[in-house]
Amino acid sequence: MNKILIIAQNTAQETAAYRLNFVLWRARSVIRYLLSYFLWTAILSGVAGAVGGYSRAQMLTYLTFGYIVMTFVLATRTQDLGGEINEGKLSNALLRPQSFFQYLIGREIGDKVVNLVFSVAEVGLLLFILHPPVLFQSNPEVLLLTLLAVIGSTIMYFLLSLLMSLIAFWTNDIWAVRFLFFMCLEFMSGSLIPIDLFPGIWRSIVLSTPFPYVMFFPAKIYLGGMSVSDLRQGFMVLSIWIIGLSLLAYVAWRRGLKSYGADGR
Amino acid sequence: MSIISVKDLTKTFKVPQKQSGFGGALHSFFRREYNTVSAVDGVSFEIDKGELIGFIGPNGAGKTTTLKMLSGLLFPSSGKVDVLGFTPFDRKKEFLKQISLVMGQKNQLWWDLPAIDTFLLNKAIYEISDAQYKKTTTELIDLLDVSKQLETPVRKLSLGQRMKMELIAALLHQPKVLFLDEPTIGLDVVMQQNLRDFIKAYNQKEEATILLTSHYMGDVKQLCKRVILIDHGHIIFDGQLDTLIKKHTKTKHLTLTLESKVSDQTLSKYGKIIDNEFPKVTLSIPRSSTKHIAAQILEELPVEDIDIAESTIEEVIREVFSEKR
Repeated sequence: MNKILIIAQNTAQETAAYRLNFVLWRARSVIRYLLSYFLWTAILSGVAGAVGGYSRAQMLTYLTFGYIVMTFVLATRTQDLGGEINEGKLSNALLRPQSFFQYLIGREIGDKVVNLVFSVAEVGLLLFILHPPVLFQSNPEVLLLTLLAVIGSTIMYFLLSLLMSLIAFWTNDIWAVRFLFFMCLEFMSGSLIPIDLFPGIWRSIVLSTPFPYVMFFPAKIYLGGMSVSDLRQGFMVLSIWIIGLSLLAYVAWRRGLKSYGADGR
Repeated sequence: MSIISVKDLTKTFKVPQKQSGFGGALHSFFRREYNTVSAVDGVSFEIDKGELIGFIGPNGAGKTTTLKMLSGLLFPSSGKVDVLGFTPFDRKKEFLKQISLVMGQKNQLWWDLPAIDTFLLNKAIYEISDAQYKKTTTELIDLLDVSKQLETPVRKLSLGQRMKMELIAALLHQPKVLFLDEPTIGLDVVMQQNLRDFIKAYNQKEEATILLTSHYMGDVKQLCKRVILIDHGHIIFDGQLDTLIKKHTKTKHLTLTLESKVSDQTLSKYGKIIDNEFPKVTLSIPRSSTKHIAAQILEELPVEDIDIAESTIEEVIREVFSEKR
């Protein structure tokens, strides 16, 4: 356990070495949040009542809570791994008598803690300035389900991002896939428009991809009032993705190591 | 009993080929061609406990690839490797705890953090006791003279300082088998010497088995009794350094200090002229007739001083490699 903590601590300290980089990354998240915040404030100010079942308070709660969730889920160091494989830096980790998985977990914890602290502080500040009418969920069952969804989504995104980096064992072109992924994420995570506002068939398609689980699913649960069948279906899709991605990541790692060239060093 | 045993070890890489220019880039985009390159080709050797061996070869000979297979980083294409009774590629904890690979151009230190943070991490990962950690670090920090740089982020260190920190990080767990790839690269002459002394002492004190590659023949000459020469993935010599020198130095160097100028034509009667800058002349002469030729020169030429020396190890190695090609 001690080993994981030291790695987490070092990772957090590393972030401090690239302050500007980190601040800009945070700024990007804040801008994305403000964009959807003002968009929906404008849309909902013209109508009395709700749009697609979302009242003003509900929509702003959805966006605000979703913002924290997304920050936490998307904070990962696995995206550096692709470059490390290509440049042969992976060798360092491979030479240490420590499971590589343990090393990854340590780095994830370090990165997530730093990002979580900042996003909570940012939201606190934004709430103080903008005074949106956000709702606080107090139903313990709902909170538990929300927590489960966040944990599931964190594991799923970790695996997905890991896989996108393991591609580096076979090719140097590692960014193309990730760019495509982030493009899809912008629209299908629900950070701009909640997925249940999508028309019928599109909604079903998007809900079967991993994207909405990064934000929409946990944030929607938090709002409360989700039907049991929707919950069941959501958790099922999430579980299937986790199992499938775990198997894929395991196989890719095993086979990748055999073709690892430890180049450049 | 051998600590390292390698049999018919081979590693081939698929290397993508690209013709130069935009056309070439376009071509290889649609139709990528690969070349199969054997970096290591059927290599076999045995190393006993406590041996300090020099692994020598030109760039691209397969030295580093072999070290990477011995330390478990690369999966061999074929052949058998056994180090300390383990198959390196399995990367068992007990195996990794007993070895270390230091590469002159590699960084295991956390780039943006001070070196001490990496030391502490390694202490935890290698499960080193407090007492042992304290003893080893004090000794190494003192010896390598880096106490003032411990708190500086690694990226701010000079190449030499970084190399020293790398070495400390690699030796904290007191490995029984040490693979050193160009350990003295980037160090000044004083530090090179310090490091050599240190490697020798470490080898003797801990009875550690050390496999070393270096371009500096000084390293090899001072440290290694046995050398393995490798070229194009093949071993071309494996044995005592002395034997290699005796076997391959068919010539000696004769340096004369002349009182007056002698023509090249006259000089070349005695041997091959290597250097002629009045008053000093260096000739290469057959080893077997050294005495005879020296006597002849002393009698026939206006010589003020004469000096006979063995060929340098660099020359020997160069000769061996050019012969085999």
